Amino acid sequence: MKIPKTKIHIRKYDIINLTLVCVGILVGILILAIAQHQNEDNYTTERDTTLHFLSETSLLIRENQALYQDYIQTKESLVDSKNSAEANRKTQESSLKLQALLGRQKAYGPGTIMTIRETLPAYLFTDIINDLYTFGAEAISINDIRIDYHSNFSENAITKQVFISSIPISAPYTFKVIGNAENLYQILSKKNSTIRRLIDSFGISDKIEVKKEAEIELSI
Amino acid sequence: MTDKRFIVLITLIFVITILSGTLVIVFFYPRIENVTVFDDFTIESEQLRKKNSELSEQLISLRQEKEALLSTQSISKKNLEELKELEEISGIREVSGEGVIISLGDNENAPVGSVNICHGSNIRDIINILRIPELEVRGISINGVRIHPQTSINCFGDGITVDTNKLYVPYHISVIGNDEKIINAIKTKTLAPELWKEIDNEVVTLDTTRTNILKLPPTRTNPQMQFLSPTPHENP
Repeated sequence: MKIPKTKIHIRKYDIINLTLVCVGILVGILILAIAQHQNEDNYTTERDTTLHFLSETSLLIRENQALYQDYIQTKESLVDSKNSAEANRKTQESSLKLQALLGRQKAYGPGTIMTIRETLPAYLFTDIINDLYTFGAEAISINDIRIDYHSNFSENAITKQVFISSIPISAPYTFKVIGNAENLYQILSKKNSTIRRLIDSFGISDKIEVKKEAEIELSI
Repeated sequence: MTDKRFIVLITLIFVITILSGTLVIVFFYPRIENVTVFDDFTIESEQLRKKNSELSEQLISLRQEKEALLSTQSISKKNLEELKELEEISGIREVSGEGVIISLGDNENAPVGSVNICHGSNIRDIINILRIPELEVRGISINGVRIHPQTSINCFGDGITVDTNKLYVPYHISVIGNDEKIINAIKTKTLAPELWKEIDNEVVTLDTTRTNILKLPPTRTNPQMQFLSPTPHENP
């Protein structure tokens, strides 16, 4: 037998139903927000982040892959070292690679180009470079000035002019970064990533452009 | 529909909504290569550290073996000397000489708080100064960990990480180079204004010690050159 539907009956159940659905959606959003917050690296000071355990694990995995690759290559080169001609060739090859790493030779490779169209203080460049290396950069240049083991960032206290090893640089700053193009692109374009939050603390998120490149050339 | 069935239906809708939200998080959550969200990161990190440490020791041993082999071959002396110099600068080879030990620590009189301790940024500021060419720096290590051109220094809990090595205060930065110029540069406030703010506010302490004999070990993690090449790639 059908229960006669009265106006009051339907309204009561509709309200309960709607309330429960809304609560369910809100709880879902809350879970998402908490998970998102836990994924972010935490800032302990303006310039420092506490590396999240996900970032730490990522670093360890990358280190493991690089060590394993080095181990295999060094083991192979032991065979080559038994032959003078081959040993000479390999020595020169190793020198050339290290020269490219150290900025004494041009460097080539896939990567990402980031352009910032706003003046930044010198210390921020130190932090950005540090973060780029944390997330897999292998070689970097800023406004076509190669960043190497002798690159020092300084600033004139009065004019606020920034220098890279005594060479003045001004905005826009073009960071050319050789490394895993996809990873670097993700890190540099995601607005809540460590590097972007560092830069965005200056309120310049709309003045940053990022693009992937199949081949970047870094000059000496 | 009876009241009981209606309540069951509403409860079912509620549970489905919660489950949907959870599934959205699981499938759209960013993933790190080879690691899923639900793995035990702490155990995996420690296992990776142990593996990396073993690989690093084996690599050092292999390199020594290679060097011994190379010395038996007729290789151009110029090539060998050049490679040796490049390996020293890039941190792959041990280096020794006179230099300076720069010690950074927390000021015990500073108020308790996470902002009132020595941070990764303080170390980075020191390293930035040491990059000045006139200081003739040939090698740097932090608490025995050699750094290389791609070294990253970050905060981690109450310490710092130098690449993946966890270090705690006090931080002893050993530098081989021109000791007088290094000490003068470190004490020049305009070269590291952010660091000197912390020192002047008695949050961080800084000391320098000259030393005649410093020996810096090779880096445990080599600079990575997986994508970097000295020659253009064909058909990038």
